[in-house]
Amino acid sequence: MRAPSAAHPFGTDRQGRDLFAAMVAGTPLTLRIGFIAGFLGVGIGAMLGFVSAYYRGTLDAVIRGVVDIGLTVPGLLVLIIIAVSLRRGLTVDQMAIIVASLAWLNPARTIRAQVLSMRERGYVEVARLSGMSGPEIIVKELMPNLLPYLAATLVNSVSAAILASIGLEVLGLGPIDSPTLGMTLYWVNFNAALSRADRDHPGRLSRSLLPHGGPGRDRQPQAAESDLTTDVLSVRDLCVHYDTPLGAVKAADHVTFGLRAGERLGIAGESGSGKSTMALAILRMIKPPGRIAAGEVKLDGVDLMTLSDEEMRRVRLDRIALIPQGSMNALNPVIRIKEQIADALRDHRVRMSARETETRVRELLESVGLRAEVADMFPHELSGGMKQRACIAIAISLSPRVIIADEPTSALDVVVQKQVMETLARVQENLGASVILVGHDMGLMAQFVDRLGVMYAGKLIEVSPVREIFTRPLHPYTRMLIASLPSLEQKGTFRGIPGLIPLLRDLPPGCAFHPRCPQAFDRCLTEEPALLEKHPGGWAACHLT
Amino acid sequence: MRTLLEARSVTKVFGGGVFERSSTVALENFSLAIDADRPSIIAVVGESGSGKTTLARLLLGLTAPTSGHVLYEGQDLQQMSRERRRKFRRDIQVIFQDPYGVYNPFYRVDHVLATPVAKFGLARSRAAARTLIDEVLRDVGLRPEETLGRFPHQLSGGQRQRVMVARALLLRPRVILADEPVSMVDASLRATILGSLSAMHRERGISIIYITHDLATAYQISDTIVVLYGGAVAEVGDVELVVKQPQHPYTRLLLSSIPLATTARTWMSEFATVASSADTETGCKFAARCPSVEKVCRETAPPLFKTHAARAVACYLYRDAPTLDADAIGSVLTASAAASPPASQTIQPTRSRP
Repeated sequence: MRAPSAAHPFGTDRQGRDLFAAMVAGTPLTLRIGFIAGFLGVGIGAMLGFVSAYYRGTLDAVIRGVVDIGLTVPGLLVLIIIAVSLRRGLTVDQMAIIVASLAWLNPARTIRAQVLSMRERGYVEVARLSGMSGPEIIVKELMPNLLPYLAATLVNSVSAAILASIGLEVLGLGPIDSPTLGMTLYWVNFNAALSRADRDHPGRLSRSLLPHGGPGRDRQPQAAESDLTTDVLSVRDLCVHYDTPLGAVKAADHVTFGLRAGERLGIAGESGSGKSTMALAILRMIKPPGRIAAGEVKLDGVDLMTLSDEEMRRVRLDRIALIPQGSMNALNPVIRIKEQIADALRDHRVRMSARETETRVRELLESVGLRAEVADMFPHELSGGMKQRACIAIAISLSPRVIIADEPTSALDVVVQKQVMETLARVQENLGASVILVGHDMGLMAQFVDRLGVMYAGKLIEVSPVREIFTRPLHPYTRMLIASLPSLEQKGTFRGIPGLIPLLRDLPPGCAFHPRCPQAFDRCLTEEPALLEKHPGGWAACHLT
Repeated sequence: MRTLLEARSVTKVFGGGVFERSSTVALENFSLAIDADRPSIIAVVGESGSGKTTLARLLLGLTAPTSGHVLYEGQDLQQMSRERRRKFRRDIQVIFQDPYGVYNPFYRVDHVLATPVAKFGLARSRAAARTLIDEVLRDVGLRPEETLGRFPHQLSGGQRQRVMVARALLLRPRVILADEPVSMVDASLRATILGSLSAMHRERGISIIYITHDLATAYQISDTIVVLYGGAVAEVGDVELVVKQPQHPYTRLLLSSIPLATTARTWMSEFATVASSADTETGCKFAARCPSVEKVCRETAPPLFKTHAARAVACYLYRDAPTLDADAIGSVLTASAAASPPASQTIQPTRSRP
């Protein structure tokens, strides 16, 4: 037995056989076992998984039963028993089949789960209604979507099969005459056992300990410049760009507005209008490839854009709270409601004893119309409306000046929606906070806000008091949007806006609305209208008025 | 009346198997009939948990009722021959809520249109198939050259939903079941899609079952309306009657909760926040939230009371009116499709509300 040298990079065994050569010879054999077993395993597993999940019923129960029992039995032990009983004169391929005999269990189970999640998809039902048969749906609709998953499963199976085969072979239960990797190891071990190795070479790991990186030291918050405006929040020329290979896409383009103390401002728009982007930009929560390209957001005179990340983190929730879209589904399912509210308090270094925290949590829950017992519940024990109220409770936990609610009721039923909006209105009045309600539902806007801004293609195209916007809208888009809403008063007054919402990366020149505007004239095609005050309090970006 | 598609006293219970402790009644003793000779638009309105999605799946034969029957031309869907089933599949088409999930991301948009053409042998040649597809796409206001050959993610939600309408049209169905077809589509495009649905009804005599949570769009396109609550019919009848003079307390609550896009009428806070107590097992499903609840409501579920030739309400407030068997709902539906008698004939509640 010789140590590694130039001639024998891996050294030799006791018989002087080159271990490098043994590895080169053994690797293809072991890979062969791995691939045959892996393919067989995934093939059989996939077939059973697909059939089991697609057809359900008795067949599924039987297959699932077999798989579950198979998986509870320790696999290697079974393989050892099989291999021992077949030991005489095993070939490499027989070895592969032995390994495959258990390799299908896991794929069958995971693929079944994948198919189960897919079989309720819309396109599977459409295919069924289009007259496709079961096997056809499996092959044409389900398989293609599972290819990446099957490929990943295959890689896993192959490596698992290699490990299993090596495990058996090291025990001497492999193809005795073939120099597979495991058998080579077996022989090395076997020979080594015969004559104890004289030296051992403890491996030395070079450990590199990285210096512990702590967070950057906090900067002192800047003193608030006193700005003589009555606005709590003033947004000026806010631009959010998304960098794409084709250039910057302007998701919010020079958005300017002010929010007064205690006011409820609505920002309405259809999908892609930039309303949510704008809301996130105010909180500096735009993620790459998006970035805030320009503009200022002043909260009580302090420009949020100049704050450090840590200062900004503290401003969020403390001064401006966000009720994000679908927030009720963002509650952590395994943590009690009270812990989630207390977390928010702790995160903002509110020093309170456990007792005080408990009292505060209960107070907050009661203020959003939830019973105090809700504190000890888990999110799944609450209905959608209750979860949304718990989110409002978190949002108001530090008594913010501004609450930004992004589609806070989009997944709720109308009756519950009304209750949640009433709750939001009540807590806002109690706190004396201002609210920005971001959404697409003009009805909700009409019922809730004091002033309404309408966005189209990243721009604010109208801002007016809500009464005026619904009685005499200034912008044709606003007018048509209101006309496109179904009324309960009169039938047949319900008209869509022709054309499509433009893509932000491909905006028409001039006014972005001109291709859909019935009143567009030549100036609209070339010159972009600016947002101007058309009458006191009423702003619009349109050449008509 | 010759019925085309009919649900007869259908009940669907989920769970309750050997290993499950609880079961959920998704739909209870529900009946609905569509006249073969007189096409109509029926709206089924309900909130989440009302059973409306279960109803859609039952009517499409995608799931079997626990009791009762779904009949197509008088024949039970569960006992249909292969041939009949093919015809059924063709005659009853569906438009799903989610214009994203109904497309297999692996294929181009053409796939959803080409498959039914191939499966139902709608065209002899490739060119004929293409002509047919182009034609239906134009019918729903899409330009074929801008639509075909694209992947689903390259189209907007409104375009995708219109492709699904086109797909339904392709098969020249007799009934289209539209399950929340516009709830995921932008406001400015909703009217366009609902417009093409009602044009199909007008011009081609296709009956439409419009399933929705939105009373306002339901009012705009339908002739008759079924209001579901907790898997049972709360109120059914002529859409003008039900929306303008709602009788069931739930219908009233629903109507008053709709945020209307007008500042003239603000949200009425009539009985917005009724604390929900424990649900009753046997009584009226709405009893826990109802402001007019009586003792009997918690004990026995109310039958339908026929308060008008074209309307029935499941509420004891109207117990003076004759009762209506659930499987006779069809009579109310057809009466309302015809000219409604003057509203003065309607029966008023026997008890004034508090």
